[in-house]
Amino acid sequence: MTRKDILQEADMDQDLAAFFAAGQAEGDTPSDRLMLNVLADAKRAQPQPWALPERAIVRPIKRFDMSRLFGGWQAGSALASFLALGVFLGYTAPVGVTAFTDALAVSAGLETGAASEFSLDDLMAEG
Amino acid sequence: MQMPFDAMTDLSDDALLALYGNGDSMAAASLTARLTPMVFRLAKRLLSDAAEAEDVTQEGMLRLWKIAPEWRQGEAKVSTWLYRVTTNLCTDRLRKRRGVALDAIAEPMDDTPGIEARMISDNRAEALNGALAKLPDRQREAVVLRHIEGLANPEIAEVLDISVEAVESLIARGKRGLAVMLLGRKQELGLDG
Repeated sequence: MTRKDILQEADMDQDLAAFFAAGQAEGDTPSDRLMLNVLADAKRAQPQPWALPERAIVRPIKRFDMSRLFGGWQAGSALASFLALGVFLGYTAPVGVTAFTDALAVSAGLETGAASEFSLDDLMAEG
Repeated sequence: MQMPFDAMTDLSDDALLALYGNGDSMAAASLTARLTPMVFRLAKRLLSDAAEAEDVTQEGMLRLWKIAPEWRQGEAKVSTWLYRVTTNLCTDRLRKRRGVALDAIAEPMDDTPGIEARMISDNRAEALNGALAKLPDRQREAVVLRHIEGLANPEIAEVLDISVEAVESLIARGKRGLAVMLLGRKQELGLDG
């Protein structure tokens, strides 16, 4: 590009600048109808917040109500309590059970310790 | 949760589009107000027809709404993407139009009386629009994006999907074409000083 070309181009730019300025100033504003149409499209196309796609919606599985087998939740909870007590007694050391049964016997007025004073031979001798 | 409309003026187009994708209706209103005039202005420049420009604007904006849920923030500017969509839609329309009629470009004359300066400016803008309409499509697109919309050459390259050098070449040839058509009318348009 020669110096002459550069100067010619600069002149051309200067001349065209007035046209571009007029073009920029031209008030091309969209109509209200267009703005409303665009907004209506936006609303139609907008994904709904927190909406799950239809196929992702899982219907709840109908739960089998086991408590009904035992006469309702009240009976079921009583049964569960006794079951827990049974497990507790099963796992506790026998000493604890003996102490518990001895205590019961004492409170009932039974002399369990006296049994050890008689041997099997004495009982056999007496006929 | 909806953000108040006022709070959205500082948000980028990217952020607003993400909010729109999450169901925020205020974001839709804000994007509409911000981007629709931009798209319409470009479409009207490229098509020289307000009714067709409105159709293109609505179509371009609809594509934006549809792509919102998949939009990846930070990858491209929303405005650049929208300029690109609009330019392509206009190019399609111009191709179809050429197959139908050659002289359907004339702009209606605005006979509203106004002050002299306004009239001169309008006359120049009208002359520019007429000259732009006669340029080849790619040259017109490049010149409008550069000199009317004020985009930088790298962004125009992205919009038109060509190199920056090709953009420079299109703009230079476009301006030479405009100069041939317009500068002979300088006196008539109040520019001969």
